[in-house]
Amino acid sequence: MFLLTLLFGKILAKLISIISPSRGSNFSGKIVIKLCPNFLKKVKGINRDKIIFITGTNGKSTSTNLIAHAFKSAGNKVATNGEGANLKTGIITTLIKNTSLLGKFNKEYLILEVDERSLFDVQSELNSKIICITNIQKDQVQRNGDPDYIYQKIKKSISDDVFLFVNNDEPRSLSLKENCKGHITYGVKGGLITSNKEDFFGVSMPCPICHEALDFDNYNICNVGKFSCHSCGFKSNENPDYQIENVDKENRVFTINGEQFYLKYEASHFLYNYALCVAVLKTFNIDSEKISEALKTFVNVGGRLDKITYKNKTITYLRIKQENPETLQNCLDYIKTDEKKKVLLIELEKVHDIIPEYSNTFYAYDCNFEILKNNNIEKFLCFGDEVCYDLYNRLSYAGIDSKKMVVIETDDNDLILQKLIECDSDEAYLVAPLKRYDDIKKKVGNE
Amino acid sequence: MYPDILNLHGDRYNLLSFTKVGEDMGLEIDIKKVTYLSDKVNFNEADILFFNPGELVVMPDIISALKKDKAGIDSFVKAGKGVITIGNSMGIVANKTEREDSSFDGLQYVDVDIKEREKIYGDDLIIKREDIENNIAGIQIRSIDITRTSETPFGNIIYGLNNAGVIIKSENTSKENNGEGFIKNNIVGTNLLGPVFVKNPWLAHWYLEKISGIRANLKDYETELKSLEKIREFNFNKR
Repeated sequence: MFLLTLLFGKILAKLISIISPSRGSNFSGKIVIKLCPNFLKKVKGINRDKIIFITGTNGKSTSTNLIAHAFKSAGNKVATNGEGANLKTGIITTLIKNTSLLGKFNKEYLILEVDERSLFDVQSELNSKIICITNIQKDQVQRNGDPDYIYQKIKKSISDDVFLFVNNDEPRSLSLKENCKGHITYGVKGGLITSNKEDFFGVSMPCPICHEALDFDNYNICNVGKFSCHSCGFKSNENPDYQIENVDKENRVFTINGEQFYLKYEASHFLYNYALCVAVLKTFNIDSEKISEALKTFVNVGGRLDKITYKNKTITYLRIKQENPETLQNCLDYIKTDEKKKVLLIELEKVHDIIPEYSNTFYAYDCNFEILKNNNIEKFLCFGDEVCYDLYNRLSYAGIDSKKMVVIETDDNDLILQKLIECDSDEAYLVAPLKRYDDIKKKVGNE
Repeated sequence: MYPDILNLHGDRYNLLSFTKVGEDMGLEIDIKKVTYLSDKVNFNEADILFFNPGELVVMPDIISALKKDKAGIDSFVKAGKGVITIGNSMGIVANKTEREDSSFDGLQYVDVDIKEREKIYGDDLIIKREDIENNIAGIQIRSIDITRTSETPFGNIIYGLNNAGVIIKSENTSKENNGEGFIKNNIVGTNLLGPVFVKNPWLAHWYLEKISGIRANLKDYETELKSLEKIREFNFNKR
C-alpha cells in the first residue's frame, strides 16, 4: 500500500509541477496523507543522526535554507523543504520527491524546517535526533495566543534522546536545554549589535523557569540578548559554544571561536542564522573554509532585502510578517543604520491568514519606532485601507513629526507610488507584508 | 503592574495614553512601575492598579505576589480605587480560573468564574457603553471564557465574542447575551486587548473622570475617530 501511495504521490508531484508549480510544495502531501497517514514512518533508509529539524518562531526558513546550502556546498546530498512547506503535508511532499520507487530515501541528509505546531506530530514519525530552535516569541496570536502555547508544543516534542541546538540569547529556547540528551548553544556577543529599547515603558518578558521579570543587559534583537533572572538564577551563558565575537562590515567577515567566516548579510537577525549554521556544520565536522565559502554563495530567498527601481527611486523592500513584532523591529533597526535621506513606505494591513479577518496592529506597539524619529526620513507614507489611521497613531506616539506623516487611505498601488514620486528623496524603504511587495514589483516591472 | 511579566500585546502604551489623555484633561498622571514579583507594593500611593494581559501560566505567581500584602490590596479595593484587568489577567480578581489540567483561585474581588478555552479565538471586538459617546474598538485574543458571573458587563457588544464565547454582530442585540467583561465599582475586566486606551482615548477619559472625580471636556481625537469608523466599517462588511 505504501509503495502504491508513493508512486501515486510521485505522479501527482510531477503533474502539479507542470500544471501549477506554485502549489507543488504541498499538494501531493495533502493527498498522500489521506491514503497513508503514517507515510513518514514508512520511508526506509533515513539515518536519524542525519535528520536535522529547524523550528522556532522566527528565522527558521532562512536558517534551514542556509544550513542545507552549506551542506550541499560541502559536497553532501541533501533533501530539504526549502520552499517553506513546513507542515506535515509539505514534509511528506519533500520525501515523495526524495525517495526511490522502492521507498528508500535517496539522499544523505534530511534538513527540514518544521512548523512549531507540527513538530510533535512530525517528530513522532521521523524521530530526528537533532532539533535546532531559533527562538520562541510572539507570533500569529490569532492561532498561538501567547508564546507559552508554542513553548509547550516544542517542549513536548523533545525527548531524552534528542540533541538540541539552542539560542543562548533567547530565554525560552535556552531553557529547553534541560529536557534533552545534550545541547549546543549559539549566540552573538552582547553589545556587538545592541539596540537599547530601555526607557520607562520598555518591557522585557517573564522568566520561562520561575515567571519573575527577566533583566536584559542588552538586546541584539527584541528580547534576544544577554539576560538573567535575579530570582532563580537562570541566565544566558557567558561563553556559549558558538558565539559571534566580531563583525567587521568593512572586510565582510565575522569571527566565531577565533575563526573567520564570510559576512554577506549584516542585519542583526541574520547573525543568529549564521551562528546556528556554523554551530551545526562544525558539529558535523565540516571544514570552516567550506562553511565560509557557502556563506558567501548563499542567496537569501526572494522578497527579503530586495531592491527595485521605480522611475528615479530605489525602493528597498524589508519584509514583515503580520502579528510578529520581531520582524517589524528588525526592519526598523535596519533602517536606522542607513543615514541617507529617504522615504518610508509602510503598511501594517488587516490580518487575513485565517477567518475571521481582523484589524490587529498591536504588535506595532511592541516595537520601538522612536529610533526613527531623527533618522533623516523625509516622509512616512502610512498606506493601506483598514488600519492606516492606527499606524499613523502609533507613529504619533513615537514622537514622529506630524508634518512628516502622510496617510494614504488606499490599497491602490498607483496612488501609493504616486505619493512616493512626489517626494524629493531618491531612496525609499518599503516595509510591508510580502504580497504587497510582490504586487508593487509586478507593477513596476510592467511599466 | 508587572509590565515585563504581563507583556503580550503591546499594552504598555496604554499607560502612555493615560498620561496623554490626563494632560488633555488638565490632570497630572504619575505612573509608578512595579517590576518584580518580589517588589513591595505601596497600595496607598496609587489610585489605579493596571494589569495588562499575560500568559495564563504566570497568573498564579502574580496572585501569590499580591497575596503577600493581602490586607494592603484589600483596603485599596474596599476604598473604591481603580483596578483594570485585561484578558487573562481578569483571573487575578476573579473567583477561579480552570485550566485544561489545573486551576487557580483569584483574589475573589468579583463574582466571576473563568475557564480556559480549548481553542484560541482572535477577532475584533467593538463594544458600547451608555455613558461613553463613542464605541470602543479593540482586539480580542481569547484563551478564556467567563463561564459564570453575577457582575454587570463592562460593555455591550456590537461586534465580537461575548463572555460565553458566542459571536455577536449587531447594533441591537438584547442585553441578555451581549455582555462583555465585567465592572464592579471601579474594578474593570475586559477582553479588549492591546493598546485599547490608545485607540480609544474617550475610554481613558471616562475612567480618569471616574477615578479622579474631575469632569473635563473630551478633546477632539480626530485620528482615533477616523480609525474607529474604519474599523466599524471593516467589521460589518468582512468575511
